[in-house]
Amino acid sequence: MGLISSLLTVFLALIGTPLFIVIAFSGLIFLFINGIDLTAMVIELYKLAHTPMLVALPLFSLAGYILAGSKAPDRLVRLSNALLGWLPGGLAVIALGVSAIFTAMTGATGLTIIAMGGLLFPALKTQKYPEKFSLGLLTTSGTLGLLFPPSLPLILYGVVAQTSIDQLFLAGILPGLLMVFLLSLYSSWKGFQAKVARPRFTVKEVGRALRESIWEIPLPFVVLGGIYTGIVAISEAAVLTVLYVLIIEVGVYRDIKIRELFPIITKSSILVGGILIILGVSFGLTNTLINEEIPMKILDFLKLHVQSPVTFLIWLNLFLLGAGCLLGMFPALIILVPLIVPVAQAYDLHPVHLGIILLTNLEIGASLPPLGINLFISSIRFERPVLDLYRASIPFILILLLTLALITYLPVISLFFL
Amino acid sequence: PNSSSAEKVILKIGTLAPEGSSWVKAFRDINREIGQKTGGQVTIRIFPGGVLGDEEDMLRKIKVGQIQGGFFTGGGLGLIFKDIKILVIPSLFENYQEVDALMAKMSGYFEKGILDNGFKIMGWGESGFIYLFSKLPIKNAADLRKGKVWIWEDTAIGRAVFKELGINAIPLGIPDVLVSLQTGMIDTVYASPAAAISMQWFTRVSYMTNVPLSYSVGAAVLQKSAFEKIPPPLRATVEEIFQRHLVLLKENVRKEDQKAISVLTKQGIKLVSPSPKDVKEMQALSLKGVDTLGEDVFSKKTLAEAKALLKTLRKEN
Amino acid sequence: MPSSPSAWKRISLFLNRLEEILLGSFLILMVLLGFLQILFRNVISVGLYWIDPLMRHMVLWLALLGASVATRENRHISIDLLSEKLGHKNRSYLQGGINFFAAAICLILVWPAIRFVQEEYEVGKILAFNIPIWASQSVIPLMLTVLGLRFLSKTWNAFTRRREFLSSEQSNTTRI
Ligand code: NA
Ligand code: NA
Repeated sequence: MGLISSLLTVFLALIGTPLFIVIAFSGLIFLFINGIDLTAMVIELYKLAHTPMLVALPLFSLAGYILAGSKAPDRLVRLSNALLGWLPGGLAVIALGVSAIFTAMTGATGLTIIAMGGLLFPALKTQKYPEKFSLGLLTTSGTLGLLFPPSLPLILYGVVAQTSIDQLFLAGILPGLLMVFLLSLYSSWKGFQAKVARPRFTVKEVGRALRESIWEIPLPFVVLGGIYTGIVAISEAAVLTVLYVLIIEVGVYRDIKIRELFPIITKSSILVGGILIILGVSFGLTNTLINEEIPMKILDFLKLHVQSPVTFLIWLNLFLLGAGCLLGMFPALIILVPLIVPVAQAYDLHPVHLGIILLTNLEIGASLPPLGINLFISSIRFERPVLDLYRASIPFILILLLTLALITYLPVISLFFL
Repeated sequence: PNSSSAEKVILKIGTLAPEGSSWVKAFRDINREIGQKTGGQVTIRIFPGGVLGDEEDMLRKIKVGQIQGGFFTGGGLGLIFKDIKILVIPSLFENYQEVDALMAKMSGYFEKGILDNGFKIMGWGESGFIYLFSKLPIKNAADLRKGKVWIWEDTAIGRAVFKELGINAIPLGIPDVLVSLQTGMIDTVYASPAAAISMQWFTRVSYMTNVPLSYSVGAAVLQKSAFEKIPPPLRATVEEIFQRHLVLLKENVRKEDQKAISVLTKQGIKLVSPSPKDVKEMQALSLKGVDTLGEDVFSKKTLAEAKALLKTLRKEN
Repeated sequence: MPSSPSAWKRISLFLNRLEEILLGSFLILMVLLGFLQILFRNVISVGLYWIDPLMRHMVLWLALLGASVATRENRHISIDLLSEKLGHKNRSYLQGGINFFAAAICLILVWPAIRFVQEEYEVGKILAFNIPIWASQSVIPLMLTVLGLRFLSKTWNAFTRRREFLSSEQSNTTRI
């Protein structure tokens, strides 16, 4: 029965059934088989109304659409050309850096794609980066940077695993930088290959470009400053972002007229609706997976059959990648961490190192086909078929997997500062 | 002939208590013993760490039959039977003797209330006392008014008491608390000592006010209809096992509470001891605050009874 | 009851517009409420309790209203391996089948959703300002019904007006 329904689910997905219907269907079948009232699905859908972190999603989405609708992408291109244009892949490197900082601040649900994608995608396009490359870059950037403080998943791991959050903050820095660095290398190479124009560096052009985007440059500092001075909580950073972006793009630059705001708002809320409905039914599917104790059973199986630490780590990585892809970051954290920590201790893994491995896995899992949430967010944000995104993200995922291997087998990368 | 046997009963139980905590360990012990003594006919499955959602979600999931029970704190129990909420009124209790004396008299009333609402209490437990943690020492209401006090959820009781105390509390979700303590958006939080350690809030504060702010009641409950699925000859056995382990658990939690406080002091947290007068003032303000609440929050008669009990108790000592 | 097709059309246009207006208003309201909260806390040191629950419930409304608009505009995510390889006629039959299935899933959930709201009605919690929570939660069965009807109407179009249907599918979507 389970097998038949799984095959049916895959079939439904492949013939083009809307994904939220496919996920809802597989959740409902589970409930039906186990004789649980279908209302359980509705209870999970209602989680959309009491999951605090979700409030930021529509707000960042709005800020992103306003930025995309203004001339901010052009100004960003000019500025990045002036600063890093001489470097092959300069803009791509900037995109990686910006995404990493943004993700560290906001959490880990692909918010970066929603907020920054609209700005970065046209910018990359203007500079003639191949579309497939840009899509892959922005998709995997949705969770890049969550090893940097004060990222919420890092804090959550510390709480659940009873590990020092301050140590985790330190431990995440080198692995996080390694990821950004390797992706930057690849991006430089791609930029070189694509013969993206490389203007000479002149102080004069830097000055002009800086003056032109004088109002946009403070944005990250306004938001970060707002958080670090205690004016806003991390969860409120989105409000500050929207307000600042509204004021500069509508009030100062006047790129967008007030009456042009309404279509932008509608567009942004359609995007949000499409993502949230998938998230809502995914809660339902996750609930049924927990109810059947499926993640726990897989882990028990691992415990029983794996003896060597290295083999254990390989299986653990595979398992976590799957969990990141299927369950999503936060459910995976609260369900799996308490189960994995004692097991890993038996294999003599440092809990801080384990945390970094775990978060790296979940970070990659979020961009992993078929169900990584970043892929869907990109698909909706950039209006591209999700299959295209599967293909586009492959090289980036391979690089991230390489980093994962390095982080896993060289504990010193994580434990260097401790 | 054997229609009554062989029907296996699986009881799924949710809790916010994390894997590895003494609550979850107690449930595993309960399950082991029940398995042995019922010949495997009754099985408990525990879902720890809030993987099934908050307590309101767990109650919803009980209603639709996904799970059969939970280990609930005051919030969840109050949703089943509102009068239980009187136990979480700030500054109601001064120490565990008072808690035990009151529960000895009133637990029967609460159990009946829970039963009338379709649930059965398998045993009482607790998360112990909740204390104030702050960057500046807090002895009394005046000190509290100067702080930037965090509040978790909008509860009628919490709001009424904070209003009476003259505190403009700052509402934030749990994930925001640690960073907000760091940035100075808030400087005063409340938690059980164990939670202050596990959430690592203690790393961002300097003082703990060494008088209970409030009591965190807890109980293991099963849906009445689920309990009745247990074959009648086994019910008493199951109940006895639950009761015995939960009594042990309560003793454990209290010991751990003390251990947690000494860990905190070793980490450099200073204990602040309010004077008896300060304590009485907080009690009076808190009770005055909840007096403004209507019958919809809890029955006033129940609170009056509790107050009278505590009064005679304090006179005796 | 409207008697002519044009009346139907007007009603449906009105409803479409209503959905968009609600969506937009909620989003603007969320920004304003968030701003109010930051302002009150920093300027007069008052924490406004009611803002958080209101904003969270707006997320639920955004999700369901947005999903409905996405259905109308063919903007739901799907993995489409098959339809490129099918002929005109078969493609519209396939789409008809898929939309019918989607309608069924949404409509199956309507009754559980009503019961969910009923249960919450009995608990009787308040969202903010005397708005009972169940009133906000009613958006779940309501919009599930709307989603179901939208998918049904697409099913109908796929089978009866194949040509129009396929061209409308194409114009609105980048074959997501
Ligand atoms: Na992100
Ligand atoms: Na997912």
